[in-house]
Amino acid sequence: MSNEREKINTDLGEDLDLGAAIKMTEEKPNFSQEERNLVAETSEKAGFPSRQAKKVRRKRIKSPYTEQLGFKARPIVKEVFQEFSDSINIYDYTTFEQALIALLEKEGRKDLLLKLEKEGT
Amino acid sequence: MATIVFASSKGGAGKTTAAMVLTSELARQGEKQDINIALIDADPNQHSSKWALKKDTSKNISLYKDIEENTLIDAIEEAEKQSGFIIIDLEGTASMAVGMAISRADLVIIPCQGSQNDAEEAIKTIKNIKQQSRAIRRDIKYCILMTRTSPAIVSRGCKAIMSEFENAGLPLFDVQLIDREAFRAIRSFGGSVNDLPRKEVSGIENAEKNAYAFAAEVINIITGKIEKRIIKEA
Repeated sequence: MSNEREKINTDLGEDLDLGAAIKMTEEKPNFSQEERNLVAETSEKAGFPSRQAKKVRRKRIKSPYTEQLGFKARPIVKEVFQEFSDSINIYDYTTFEQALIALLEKEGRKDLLLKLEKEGT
Repeated sequence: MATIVFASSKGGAGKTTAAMVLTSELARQGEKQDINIALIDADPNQHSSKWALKKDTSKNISLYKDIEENTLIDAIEEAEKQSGFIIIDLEGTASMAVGMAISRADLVIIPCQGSQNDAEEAIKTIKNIKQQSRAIRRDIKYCILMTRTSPAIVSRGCKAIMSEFENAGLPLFDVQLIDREAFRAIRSFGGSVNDLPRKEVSGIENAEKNAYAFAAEVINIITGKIEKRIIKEA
């Protein structure tokens, strides 16, 4: 025999008429975007602003220096090249690029200068 | 379908407890009538979801959990197609989600404890209901539910607040959600107060009567049997 007390039947004998309540409520069509905007605007005016965390996508700055360029140079050229870069506090790739631009200008190669300018960003 | 929203911009007013009590009572009644109840938990704390996922909770409850402001209206519209009743539990804060839920509601229940802060936040919520009602040009019923009241004595402060609501013509539930151990216990055990282990929890019979009376009054408000208590928007 179970020790648990018998459950008292507290069902008040009256079922709630849920169906009647469902029938009494009007069918609401889905909101259009304009209606959603109106609800949002009304909420804001009533002092109920958006608390949705804004998903801010941080734009990572991508370096345009993506291609590897390796070639052999005379030891003294490498030394002077790096010393020059150090003296004006720029990286070797900037020295290379500026040297190339200066050469193109000297040779009057506007076509290649334009290409560099157009596609180099 | 009947969409019922529990709203108050104050935390701890009793929204989740009242939502769980109503959902469980409607689900219990709905089992006999083959009616499904949707529970939308739009509170980031997800307390009502945790309750709904406990093993003793009715099978005719469809849970929509982790609902945020930007997915709330979609969730309500989907639930309205699937279920007879949609119960929405919101976060206790003045957020846009409150306005969005109100805009789809057939009845907004505003839980309020007998404190000045709760009363002020209830008024703020009512103002939002009125503004939404005007904006979407639809009557939205609302009613204040006194929660966590004492079964023995009504405090002077609580009496004063209730009387201020009544004098202002604001609709109040006849039923109050009494502060009962059984209502707290369903959070731990799941299911309804009727399913609680009688040896472990006291006052179950009174809690059952309280839950039934609350659900009955909700049904009466929705069906218009006590329409005189509800102020309709022009």
